[in-house]
This record gives sequence, structure tokens and C-alpha cells, in this order.
Amino acid sequence: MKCLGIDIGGTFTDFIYIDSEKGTVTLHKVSTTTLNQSIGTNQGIELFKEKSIPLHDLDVLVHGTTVATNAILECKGVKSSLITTEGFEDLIEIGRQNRSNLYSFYPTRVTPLVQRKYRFGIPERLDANGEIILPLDPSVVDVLIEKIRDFQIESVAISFLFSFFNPKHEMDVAQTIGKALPDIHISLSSWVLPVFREYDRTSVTVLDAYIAPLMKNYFNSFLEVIRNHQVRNPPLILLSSGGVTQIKNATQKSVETVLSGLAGGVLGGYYSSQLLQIDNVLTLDIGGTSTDVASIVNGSIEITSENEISGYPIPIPTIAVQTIGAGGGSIAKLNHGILQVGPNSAGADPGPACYEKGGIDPTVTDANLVRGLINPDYFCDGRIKINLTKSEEVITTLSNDLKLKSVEEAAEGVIEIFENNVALALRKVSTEKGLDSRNFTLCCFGGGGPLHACALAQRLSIKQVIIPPHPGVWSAFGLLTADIKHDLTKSIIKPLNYSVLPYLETSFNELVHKGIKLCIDDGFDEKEIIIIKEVDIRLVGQSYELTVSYQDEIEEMSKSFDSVHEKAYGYSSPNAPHEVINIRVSAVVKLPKFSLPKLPLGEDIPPPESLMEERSIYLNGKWEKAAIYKKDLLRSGNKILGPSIIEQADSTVLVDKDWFVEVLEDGHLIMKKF
Amino acid sequence: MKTDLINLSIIQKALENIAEEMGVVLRRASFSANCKERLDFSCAIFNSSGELVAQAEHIPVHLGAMFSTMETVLAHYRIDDFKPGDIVILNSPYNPTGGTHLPDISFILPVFINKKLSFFVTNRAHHSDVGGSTPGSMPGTSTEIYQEGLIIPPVRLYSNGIENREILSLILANVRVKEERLGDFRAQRAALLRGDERLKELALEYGREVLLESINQLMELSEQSFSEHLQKFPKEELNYTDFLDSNGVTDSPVKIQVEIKFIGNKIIVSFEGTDKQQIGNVNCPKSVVYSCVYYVFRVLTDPSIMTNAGLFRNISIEIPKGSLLDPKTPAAVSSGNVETSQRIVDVLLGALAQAFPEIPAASQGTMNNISLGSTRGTQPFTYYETLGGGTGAGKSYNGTSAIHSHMTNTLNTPIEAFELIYPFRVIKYAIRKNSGGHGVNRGGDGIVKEIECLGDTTVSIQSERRIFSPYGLYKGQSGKSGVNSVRKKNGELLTLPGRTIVELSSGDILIIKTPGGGGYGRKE
Repeated sequence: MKCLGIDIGGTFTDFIYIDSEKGTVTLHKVSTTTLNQSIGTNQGIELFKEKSIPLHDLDVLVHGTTVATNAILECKGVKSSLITTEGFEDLIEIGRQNRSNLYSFYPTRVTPLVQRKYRFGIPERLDANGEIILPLDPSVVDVLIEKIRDFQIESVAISFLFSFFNPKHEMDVAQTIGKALPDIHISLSSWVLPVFREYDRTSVTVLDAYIAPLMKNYFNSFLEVIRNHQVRNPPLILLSSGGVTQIKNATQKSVETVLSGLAGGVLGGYYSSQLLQIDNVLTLDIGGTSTDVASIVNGSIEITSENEISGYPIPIPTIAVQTIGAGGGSIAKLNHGILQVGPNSAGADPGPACYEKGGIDPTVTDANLVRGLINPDYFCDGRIKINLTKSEEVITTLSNDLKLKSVEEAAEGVIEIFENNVALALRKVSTEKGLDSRNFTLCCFGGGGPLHACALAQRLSIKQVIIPPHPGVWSAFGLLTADIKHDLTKSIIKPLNYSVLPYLETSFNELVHKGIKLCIDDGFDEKEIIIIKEVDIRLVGQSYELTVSYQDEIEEMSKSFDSVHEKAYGYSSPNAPHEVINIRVSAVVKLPKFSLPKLPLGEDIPPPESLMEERSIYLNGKWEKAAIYKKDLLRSGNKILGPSIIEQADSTVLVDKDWFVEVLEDGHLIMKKF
Repeated sequence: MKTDLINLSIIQKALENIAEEMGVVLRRASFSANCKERLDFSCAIFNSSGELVAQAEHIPVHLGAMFSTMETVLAHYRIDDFKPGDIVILNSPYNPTGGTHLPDISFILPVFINKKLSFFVTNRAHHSDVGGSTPGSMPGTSTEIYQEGLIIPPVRLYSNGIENREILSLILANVRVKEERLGDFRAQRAALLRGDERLKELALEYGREVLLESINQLMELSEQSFSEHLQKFPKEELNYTDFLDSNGVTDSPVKIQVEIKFIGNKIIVSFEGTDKQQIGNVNCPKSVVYSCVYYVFRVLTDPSIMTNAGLFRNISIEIPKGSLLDPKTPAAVSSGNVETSQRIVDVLLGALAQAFPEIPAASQGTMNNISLGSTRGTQPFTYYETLGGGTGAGKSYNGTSAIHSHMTNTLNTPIEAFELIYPFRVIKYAIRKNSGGHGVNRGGDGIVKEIECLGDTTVSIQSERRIFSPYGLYKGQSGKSGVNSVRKKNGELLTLPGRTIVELSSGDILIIKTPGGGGYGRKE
């Protein structure tokens, strides 16, 4: 099998090509071209030509993109309009009435993505059962069409109260506008997310409208790039839920791509954990400006419907990832007498002081360079030149401010605080949820992950760490492990008893039908589709739900809910009335899997040519001699004691004192504490 | 021994995180919408002498209230009275003080390290009912605290880890929704136990003595950072007076007066001149006044200074005994926490604005508390919500519209969730255009919400700024006052007072217009 993963991140666009018959892996990074991401994609694909790797016979091409993410973060979506029930035009501005900054004289919240003058209310109303109590007046829509045309609106979101029970009014308005203005994109709340809670539903529908035309353009230029390189099979796009789909489907619900760029890493970590048959894993992806953490519990990735981006809720199923502002570029600074590292970052430009691009603040990368952990001649495969003297200068200044005795002490201090911040994020996805971190394995990747793996494991009392074979591009690799997946949700809101069963059945059928159609559109046969049914249940009077598997016995569902409730909150109330809030359907098609190339078998002792040098590194308050190995020359079965360093093109692995590492046959490293 | 700055920085972060983690546990385990969705709770860590070590609060009205609770507990018990596993609970604003209003129940657990009492972990949560004359325990027209619910003086709900069933059953016999109370009590305890566990882990890592000494250093750092800001404060005395529309029973305005002095390294905030305690429920326990003062100075200096006892060491607060702001039992207090608190902030900011041009004009100055309920019909119900409004404009920005300001930050209930459960239809929920005060910079607009009753309903309103409007600054205009009214089914429009209880029937529409924020600077 021949697969190509293209993952666009904030700083770099990563490429990984796997030919499982030949047993080769080819990878490279190019700078992300922010204005038009397909330019970077083209450059990266050209590099394959230079390496004489043809792409016309690719079996799979999977793409993770941050086009949607960036458009939202930078408020650069298209000029959009919102049509609501009259009297509720300001819903997206009022939000939940709360402010995002508790202690400020100037309370703020997210800026609505549609300005007041482009928000229109029209007379129509459904009651809480979805019955029409005020019919829609078609002549009002005609007036609206004129306004949309005059304002040169590119995209329209429509969200009416209770439309999740009855989409008729939304569909009528969409049809009329669509006929008059065929070039305008229209997003309906009853299609994007037919569930109750009007702010969340309207907000996510607006997000969809705001980015849909951009995504369509982007996907077109992406398609053009890969067609120019004779890629025959249609590419797959990674969704925030960790599933993939064809571009045609992805443009139907653009909002599902908003966390596309975050999902790849978790999938990569999941692949590693499955391969090594480890059920409980914390994944850790340390990049240049941010760090992403997620948990895999009992062999499954956690999915949440309570995510948000830049303050806008995204109540659709997404992989639960925590992102914090900590990475190689994080800046160390004294604030109110204590040292803080991040969330401010020097980014890629100017970058850490050692880049010599004008950065004057000490960063995590500078500190690691001073400690001797990073090889200045082999940073990013030697393609980025870095200068140790610059790092020493800025860390010396910090050391004086901190009244410390030496530059290395300050460097280690910066790293300790950085690692403490990352450890707290790891705690949020483990111990804070009542999970015992000691039962977990840490899977570290991203350019910076493997350098901090042992220290972070120790902070969480974790005894085992895995490092994937290509940590720097593991998110791109993760793309290649995804399956086709479509998630559909619908609100029910009825008491959980036998009389609800027929309604549940017809509603499930409706969603299943939609799911099957999406999979068929992706080019698959109905026989290959796996359907997963779930229900969200709560106790009457509660304002939050828990998801359990659908069973056709009411009592069984009730019992599962009670036991999940017991586990989550420490008690259950089996005798209190229960209600069904939402139903969920996932339509999945498993894609064929490739295998990673195997390393040649070696002895316990690594081959002599893999040992590059001995270098002094600063660990736990003193300079120590560490052996430096080259990853490419290590063999399966090699074992190395810490303190030592393993260098590879896309990352550097630190094996701490009292730890040892073993090289596995597929290129993973497994590190254990004595 | 001095801890180095690196370890000090890590310890600070760890302590903040323990307070936050307690909050995560409380929210996850709690039953009621108040904790779960509105985040009406706070968690804190204190040292054994009752000094604040770290705190995580979601609404500022809890900021100063936590440590007056701690003070009360320490005054009430001897240090050697505490045993591991004890949990003291209380909500009483009187004899001893420490409470805010009765629905806020505090839990306190002593933390023992190497068998020595080393910390207290505490939390406080707003319970949606603690008994009293009306569901929700916030009766709009109460005249003494006994009407507002069950008063809990400091008592041990757990001794040595064993639950005192007798106290528990006494409490549960006095509240309306027992299961919910029980669920939230369990959540409050679970949060304390998590804090206890984490502090012990931290002490194990650093050693008890180093940890306690580091905490003292952190308090000094906070004190220092705060003092640095004091250097640039003016030497003159600042005064301001503003009024509550009503005392809760009659429409006689209630005066709140403040004088702020900066002497050397100290700030003295005196409320001398404020009216005496009132017949209605506008009286405000001292702990709420502390919250307001700390809130204002925290924003005025630098909100990123570590929140611990050091931060507030240089503020001294003087409140005349028996006044609106330090009432004596049995004054009613249910509205002090939610309404009077907002006016205290307005008065403090009004004084400080004379010296600090960065201070904005007045925000809506109320929380617009609306309770809807019915005991008739087949399904009795109660529903409570607060409404946002406009915030004041500042020197370089317009105010924000339709948002909660100052002492609160709770979320609204989705309209669809509301209509699915209760017999109402929302006709309008929108920004009240042009209600912000004009000026070089405009005040934020309020909200207009119209709710149609689909059955007989008792409406109870506690709202302010219906008479005295939110002030503008530097000749900016004041924001529009709020208006409460009813459009009867027959079309007749009735204006309602700021505080009222009114009976409505099917087809009547309740209309609440919340105040706009004040403008800043005269627009030519």
C-alpha cells in the first residue's frame, strides 16, 4: 500500500509517505504558507518528485488542514448573514450573557461573526413541540433577498427556534433564497446540528456559513495541486471527530473540519498504543507554540460535544484535546516576582534567541540548547542554523534577574517550570477526571515531546513512555490511520419509557439513512458500513446529559445510564425519572491498514556506528557525560541506558538517568524507569 | 530558609491548580444547575492561621467572602478542636458572621500533614433552596432573615470522617428539594477531599516546613506587587455617594457613602455616612462588602497578582456597625449579595474615578433577579434567572451590551430549555438598542426580554437602577434606567416597581428592560 499524509500546522506543513510493500517511509517538512496553504502543499509535493517518488499510484491520500481553524481564530471568514426568528436577532451577540474576563473594567466576549446589520429576524414561530404557531410569510423572504443582494452577502446561516423538531420553515426560506441567489452558500441549523439549546446551535451554524465558501475554494485549489501531480484517487479530509471523508462531503459541513489539525496527533498516539497493545495512554504533542494533550482510556479515544474554538462553542462530536500555550518557543519572564514560562511564544518568527532572527527573550529551546540537549549542528536535520552563544546571552540575563549562580541553573529552572505547566495539562486529562496516572503510558511526539518525556512521566508517576518512530511528523502519520466516519445527532427530549420506543426507532432510521448515504457518497458499499447507535440520557431536572449505547430495552438503557452516572459523579438515582435528550448515530467504514517497515534485528548493544559522540548535558543540577546515538542507525532490540540522547532528523530523545530505552522492530522506542 | 524562585514559581502554580481542581470536582459531581451550569461556587485553601493561600472563584462576589468565613470558623473553634476528617459547614451571616446570604453554604475541612494541622480547604456553593417563605430562598419582600431559610451556624457535619446524620436530617427537613441538596453536599465534600489529597502530595514533595515557608514568601510577593501599585496612587481623599432605589419594602432611597484614603502604604476604605440597616432585604453582610472592595482594587491594580492573604494586607475596611453594610440580626439580607453588592461597586468606582481616568462609567448596577413560579395547577414549579445589561464606557472603549458585570457572571438558561420545561413563551430576547448613555464613548446597551405566560404565574422581581440611572463620567450621559412592566392580555400596559411580587395569568406578557451603561466624555 502507498499512502501520503499531509498535515498543515501553524509553523510547518508535514509530509509522510509510506510504501508498505517496499518498506520505506519518506518524510519532510516545508514552511506553512499561511495566505494560501495549497502553495506549501505544492512545494512539499514537488519535493517527492525530487526524491523520485511517483504519486500517481497512491492508494490513499489523507489531508489535515487548519484553513477553517485559522479563518475563525483570525476572524477572516466570508461576509455572512444570519436569519433568525423575529425577536432573537441578537442571540449570537448576547451569547450566554457572561464575560470572558472576570477581572477587568472592560468586560468582553467573543465578537459575533455576523454584524448586527446583517442579522435579520423574520416572523415565524414553532412551539416547544415543533408545531407551527406562527406561519412563515413568503413575502418577507423576498424583502430579505433584496437586502442580501444589496449587502453583497456571500453566505447565509438560518436558525429558527425549535427547528430541530421541525425544519420546515428553515427549509422553505433556504429554498426561496437558493432559487433567487444560487451562488450564495446557505447553512441550516436543522442540518448542521438539529439539537436543542439555541445559542449553541445557532453559533455552530454561523461558524459553518462563515467558513464554508473558504473551504470550498481551498479544497478546489488543493484538488488542483494534487491533480497536477497525477494523483488519481480522491483525497480524504480529516474531520474534528477523527474520521475522514471525501471533499464533497466535507464541504457539506465545513464546521466539522475546524479541529482537523488537532485530531491527527491523537490518532497517531492511538495507533501507537494499539500497535503496542497498551489500553491507557496519555498522548502529548509538543510543538513550537503549543502543546496538545489527550487521553486514551480502555482503548478508546475520548470524544466530546463540549469543545470550543476561540470562545465559539462547537457542540458537534470532536476529539477531546486540551491545548495549552507551551512549546519550544515559549518565553520565560519574571512576573510579580515569580518566573512564568508561556503562554507567550516567540513563534517561528523571530523565534528563539538562538535563531538569530531578532528574538531577545529566553525561550524553552534556548534553555535546552544551553543544557546541551540539542545539537546546534543537527537542528531540524541541520536545515535551521542555531547559535548557542545567543541562547547563553539571554539565559544569563535571566539568571541574573533570578539571582541564580549560573546560566545552566537558570536554563534548568525554565525547563522545570515549562514541564510543570505541561504536567498540569496532563493532569487535567487524567488525575482530575479521577483516573490514576500511574496506570497510564505516556506517548510523546511533536518536535519537542521526546526531549521532555522522561521528566514529564516522572512528574505524573508514570513508569513507561513510548516514542513513535517519527515523532516530528506523527500527526501527519495519524491521518493515515483514520477510518471513514460520519456523526449525526438529533434532539428527542422525551421521557425514557416504552411509549418513546417507536419514535426513537423512526428517528434512528432517519439518521442511519443519512449516515449510509454519506458513506456511499464517499465511494463505499452499504455492506461495508458499520452503524453505531447511542443515546444521551439525563435525570429529569438535570441540565446535563451522559451518553450510553442504544439498546431496544428501556430498562437496559436506564441501567447503563445509572452505572455511567455512578462512575462519573459518584452516585446514581435509578428510581428518579429519566429522559432521552439526543440520539447519536455514527456511520463508519474501516479503511485497509498498512504496516510500518521493520528495522533490522540487532543485539542488546547498539551497533558501534550508531554512537556519534559523548557530550556533556546538564541534568538535575549537574553536568553529566551522555552518549549520543543516531536513531537511523539503531536496530530492533538495541537497549540504551540513560543518561543518553538519541538524535533524529525530526526530533531529539532524552533518555533520563535511571531510565533505559529499547528499540522496537517497527521503530518505536519504549522507555522504562528502573 | 528561603525557597528559590524556581521552586516558588512551581509551588504557586501547584496551589492555584489545587484550588481549580477542587472546582472541577465540585462542578462535575454536583447535581443542581446552579453549580453545574451557572458556576455559582468557589474553592479556596487557607493556612492554619486562616490566611488565604489560593482561591478559584467563578464570580467575584465570593472573592472576599471566603476568608471572612474562615475567620468565623477560627473564632468559633479552638485549633485543637479539629480532627482529621472533620467538616464544618455554615451559612449564617450573624452570630457569628461569615455568611453572605443563606443559599450560600460553606464547607471547611482541616488538612493534617505529619499529624499537624497545616491547612484548611474550603468551598462555598449557592444552593437553589434552603427553605424559608418562598421557593429559591430569595423572597423579594422579606423583612427578617428567618423568612429567608434555614440558618446554619458553624456545625460539624462530619466528625473524624463520620457523617452526623442527625444534623443532616435536620437540614434536609427544612429544604424543598432534598435529593438535590444531598447531591450538592456530596459534591462539596468530594471537592474538599480532593484538595486534602493534593495538598498532602505537595507536602510530601517539598516537606511541610518548606511548603509553609514558601507560602509565606508568596504572600510577601503578592503584598509587594500590590504595594508597588500603591506608590502611584494619589494622596487626596476620594468621596462618593449613590443610592439604592428602594429598601426592599418601600420606595425610600438608601444611601451608600464611601471615603477612600491612601496613607503611606495603606488604603483605608470607610463607609461612614452610609444609611442604617433597613427593614427590607437590601442589607448586606460585611463579607460581601469585603468582596466588593477587593474586587475593585484587584481590577484597578493588576488582576494577575497571585490571590492570597498578602494581596489584601494593605487594605483596611471600616464599616459602621448596625448600618446597611454591617447589619445586626435579624435583618433580612437576601438581596444584599445580589443587588446591594453592585451598588457598593458603583460607589467605590465613582470615588476612584476622580483620580483614575481609566475607571469606566457605571455599569447596569443590578442583576435583575426574576423568579417565576406557581403552586397551582398539576405541576408546581419555580424558576430563577438573572439578566445582563449594559456596561459603562471607558476612556478608550465603548461599553459592552447585554452582559453581566462586576460582582456576577452567571450564564443564562437557553430559551428552548426554558420553554420545554415551563409554561411560558419567550417573545423577544434582544439587545435594548440606544439604552447606553451617549458620550465620546457610548455605554453598552441593556437587554429586553418579553415572556408570555401560558398559565397562572407568580412573578417575583428584585431589580435596581429603575429610578437612579447608571452614572456617566466626564459629562458622558447616564445609561437608561431599567423598566419592568406587564402587557395584559387585553392590551393594557402596567409599569411595575423595581421590587415586586405580581400575579399574572395566561396571555399576559412580562417585559423586562435592563439598564444601559453610562457614557464617557461629552459628545460635541
